[in-house]
Amino acid sequence: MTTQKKLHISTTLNGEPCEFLCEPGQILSDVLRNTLNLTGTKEGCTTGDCGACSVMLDDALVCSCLVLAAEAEGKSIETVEGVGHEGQLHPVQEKLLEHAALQCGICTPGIVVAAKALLEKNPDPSEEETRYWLAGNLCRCTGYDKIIRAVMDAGATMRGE
Amino acid sequence: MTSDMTVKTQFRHVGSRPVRPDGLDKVTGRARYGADMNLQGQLYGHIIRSPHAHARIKSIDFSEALKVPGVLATMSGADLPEPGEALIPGAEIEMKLKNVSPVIMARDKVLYHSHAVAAVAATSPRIAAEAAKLVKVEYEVLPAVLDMHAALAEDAPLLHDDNFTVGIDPPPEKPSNVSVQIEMAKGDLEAGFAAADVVIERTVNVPMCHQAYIEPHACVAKADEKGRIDIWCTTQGPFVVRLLVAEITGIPQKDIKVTASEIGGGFGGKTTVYIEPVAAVLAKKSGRPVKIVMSREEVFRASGPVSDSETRVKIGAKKDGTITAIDSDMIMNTGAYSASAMFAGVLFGTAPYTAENIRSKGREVLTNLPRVWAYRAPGAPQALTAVECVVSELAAAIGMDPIEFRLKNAVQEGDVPLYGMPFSAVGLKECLQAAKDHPNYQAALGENQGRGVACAFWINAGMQSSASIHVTPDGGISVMTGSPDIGGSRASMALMAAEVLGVPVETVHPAVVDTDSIGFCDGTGGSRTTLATGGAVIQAAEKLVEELRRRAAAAWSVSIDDVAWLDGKAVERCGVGIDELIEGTSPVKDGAKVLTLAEIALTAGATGGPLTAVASLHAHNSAPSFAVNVCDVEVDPETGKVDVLRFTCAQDAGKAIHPAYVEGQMQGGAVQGIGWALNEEYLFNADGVLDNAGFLDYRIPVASDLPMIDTVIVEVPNPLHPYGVRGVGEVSICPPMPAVVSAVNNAAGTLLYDLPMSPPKLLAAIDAG
Amino acid sequence: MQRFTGGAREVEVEAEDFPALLAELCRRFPDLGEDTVRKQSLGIDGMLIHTPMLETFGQDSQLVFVTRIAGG
Ligand code: FES
Ligand code: FES
Repeated sequence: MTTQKKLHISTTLNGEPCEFLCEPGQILSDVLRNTLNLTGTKEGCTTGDCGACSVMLDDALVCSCLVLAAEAEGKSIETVEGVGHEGQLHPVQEKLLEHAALQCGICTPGIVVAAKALLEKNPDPSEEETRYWLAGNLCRCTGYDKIIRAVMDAGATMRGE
Repeated sequence: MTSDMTVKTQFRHVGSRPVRPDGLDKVTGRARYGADMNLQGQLYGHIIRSPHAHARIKSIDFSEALKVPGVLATMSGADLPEPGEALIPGAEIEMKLKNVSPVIMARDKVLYHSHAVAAVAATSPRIAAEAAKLVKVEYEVLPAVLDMHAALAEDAPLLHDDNFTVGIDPPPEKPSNVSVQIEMAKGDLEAGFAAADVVIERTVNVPMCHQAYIEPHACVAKADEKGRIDIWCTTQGPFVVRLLVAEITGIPQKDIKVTASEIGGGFGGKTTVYIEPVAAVLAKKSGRPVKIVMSREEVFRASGPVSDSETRVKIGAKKDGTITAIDSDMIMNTGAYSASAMFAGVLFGTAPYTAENIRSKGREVLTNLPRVWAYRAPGAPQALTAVECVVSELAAAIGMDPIEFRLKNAVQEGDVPLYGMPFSAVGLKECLQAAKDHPNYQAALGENQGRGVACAFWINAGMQSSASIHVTPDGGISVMTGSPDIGGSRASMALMAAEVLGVPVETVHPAVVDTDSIGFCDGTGGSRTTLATGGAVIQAAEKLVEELRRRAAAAWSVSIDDVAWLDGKAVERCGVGIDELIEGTSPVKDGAKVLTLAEIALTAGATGGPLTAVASLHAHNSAPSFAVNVCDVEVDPETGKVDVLRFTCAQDAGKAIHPAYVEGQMQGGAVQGIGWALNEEYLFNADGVLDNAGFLDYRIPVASDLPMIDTVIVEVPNPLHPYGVRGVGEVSICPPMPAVVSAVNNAAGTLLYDLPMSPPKLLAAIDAG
Repeated sequence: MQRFTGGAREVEVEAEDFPALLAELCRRFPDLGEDTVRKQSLGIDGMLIHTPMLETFGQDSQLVFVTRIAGG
């Protein structure tokens, strides 16, 4: 068995400079969770099918299980731990709580990151747009009803309605 | 044993919708789930799995694997005690150890593809995976039976040559692949059918599926120098884990502590163990903590999926809508070991109806597929789907509205279902009426659109629970239980404690604690947690109130009877009756002494020590739930694709403690049922290898597949519970399948009863039209 | 259980509590056996006792044996 030499990667993580070592084949979700101890990013499949590992890489919403950690070199990563500022929840987080839009909550970090990305791109999404945007985030518990309502309500709050 | 309990109907907190106490940690990513725990110096376990569906294990050779630097322990079935004929003591239903232990590690035979055979522990996941490839297992491949009909054939290869069907009189002399069979009956079936004007008979197939919780199984186990085991894992029941790990490994329960992590979904699938005993044994052997996280593929291939079934149902009705007879015959697949919920299917499939003449038969069939396990109301959706689809067809055949037809036959208090226990007050008729009154039921249907209706039953469990309550010196309340919170139950515990104590719900901090820190609790399952664990919380809070009154009485040098507990305060009665004070019909006397909870707590040290109360119970007060769904679909006749347009659930919750989480259970169950009806199924190839072991090919419903799911909470109080609570978690998955199937058949003009109604199958049915 | 009771579905039994019930049933239906009875849940006037052991009954209590079922 070959031992692989680790790579040294420099990134910005949740607004702060961050350097880490990783194996060439290591996926970003693994490094976030197990090297950097940011376990808010979840792994439901590691094959890009569940969305629990959603993070922002620069301006793109990605499944961090489909990104090699080394690809983050020079980029900015935002995880669920970076959502909300100075002890304040982001409106998406507020509204998910208010609408009781989580049961087990394992999908929630991914939904938070994905929904925030949606509302930044499209401040006033229709129900259909919201449903299609979140189609990559599996939730087995809620049937999505309350999640969709919460995200649209968060949009309304952010628009000052 | 009759109860003279009065059910409370006026509430201050119960029935409100506060933000859940564990919510902040969950929306910020701080909450710790199974795979989020790491221990200093931990090893990583990797399980070696069978490439064959049926084979004899001739030898296992670890020598090459052990040469890999970083590999520190190995194990196989030889490391576990032989189960013999032992029963697992204290298990909820009778379980033979020989049906449980070999699922963790195969013994002389592997019985399904991906059956666990051996395991290695190494210093990194990559080294463990590489080493696993070097473990040499020699097999003698045996012929496999991959579906129920093959398993039932006269000359079928046998999974277990010591399996003699239970339930046949006289007991058979030849072993077979039928583990158990049962027949229940009442009335006179022949006379019932003779009295019918219309008789319809169908065979309904429900596929094998998976609970598909998003969080894979994960655990970390450590062993100390004295052999005491400490397990962190994602589970619906830490005490169940303690019991099963003990029975499977031979380590006594008193030497095992289990801490349940936050749980990322279970739906019945996490009421057992798969990796915990392996981690415990590897930890003991290596002296290092061992972490095991199943991959998604392993979850699909080697945890406990959900029985497929084939049910032949024949029902007769008179022109006036009276059901005269129901005859049902079900075979249910249990996979490699007996574990299915066939009994529930046989007993409960006909429970919504008053029909006097019923026969219900069932057989549980062994196949070379993974051993099945519980999924939300286990066994009932399969049976009810068959019955409800035929009931809907009958209503149409006699030209009656499907809800009217069901109302005519619906059970109510005093009726006796096939399983024998007369119903107390139940809400089936109320649910039917609520569905009928909902705008969904009046909505106009267009071309290629159809509507389906179904009702359903689930029995709901009670079982054992414990709770303890502590008061901080400034009047904060901690509530501890041993019931993992899978869908918001901590919010319900806080509400019930706040209700009894008369304090703001925000001051109550509920927690789920480890098996050393609380009395025994059965698992979170059977829709029992709000009723039973909540019942323990109510009792503990009541004891605490009494203690608080006693402390106030001592401070005032009066009798405890002269102290009332009002809105979180001890109040001197001064001759006013307690009931009048509580109901507010008489005001508190001027000058009456008052002590707040915080004031009593601050001086607790001087009045008798810390304030705490504990309650444990075996809840015998569960009551069944009924639910009714209405579903509208549109079928694309060109492609066979089905769109769900509208979906409405009415369900009797008895009393909804936190209505938003009750709605959540209804919506979640509905969508799981929609998925099972339209998409979800296990697809095996000719070698018994699962072809769709990932979320890409095992497609659960996604947000864009669905409309909003409307809910109507019906509240017919459970007369045996102080707040009227009934279980809500499970019945919700029972009606959606038949509602969807009937809607699709109505829209497409088909009689397709081979689920799931995937586009190719539906298209073929339309074309055969 | 009917298998061991000569087909009888309902029987009248004088028993004050579960141990007495168990003894009486086993006396009347020797093939039944304690184990078979103990493996059932017992409904007593509408209350379902999962693992009956010491329960007491009233004068006209209606008792029903129900196959034990697990939830999810
Ligand atoms: S873990 Fe990345 S998509 Fe599922
Ligand atoms: S809340 Fe459990 S998966 Fe979404």
